[in-house]
Amino acid sequence: MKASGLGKKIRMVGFQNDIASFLGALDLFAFATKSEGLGQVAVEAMVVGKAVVMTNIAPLRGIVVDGETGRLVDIGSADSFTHVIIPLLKDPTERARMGALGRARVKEFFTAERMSQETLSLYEDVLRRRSTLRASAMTA
Amino acid sequence: MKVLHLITTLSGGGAELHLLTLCHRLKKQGAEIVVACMSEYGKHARTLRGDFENEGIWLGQEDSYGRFSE
Repeated sequence: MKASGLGKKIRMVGFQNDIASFLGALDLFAFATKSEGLGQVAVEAMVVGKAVVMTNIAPLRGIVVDGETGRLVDIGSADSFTHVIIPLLKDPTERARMGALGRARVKEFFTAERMSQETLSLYEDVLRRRSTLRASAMTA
Repeated sequence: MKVLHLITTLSGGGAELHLLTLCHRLKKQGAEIVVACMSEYGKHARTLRGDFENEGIWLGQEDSYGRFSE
């Protein structure tokens, strides 16, 4: 970073415990990841009402609605990020619109309650199917 | 219902925090939960071992022989 002259513009803040306060202090959340299982940090940024800019990869594509709750950009392309981030930084109204839509989307689809309920339902469904298969095998 | 969750590490990343939330809620629904990890530490700064233990969740870790134990 020093070699590129960015040393004074970038702060490496290390591990954060108070995620909501930390994310809440941002103007925009950018996530240039190449692979994610889910990308929970995307959900965390959206639930505090932040517009997000992220790479267009499978799990993030299911979280972010491009142009509505944030923007999805080409993987590995700094230019793509730049072309999206700079206009958004100059447009607080658009950031607020995306942030509000993102928060609503998370509240509807990505709550811990919904995640745990659907996971439990899936486990129960698997167990039911196993019981049915066992019963069928015993009567065959 | 008895559930074994297998996860790579217990470091404080998104997947691990996601699992912690899931285990907390499944336990409240009456499920018996065991979490096994391949190693405690990953690329993140801290381990969530204490958080899982505070939830009363049994933790197992893989040893060099591929066996899981507390």
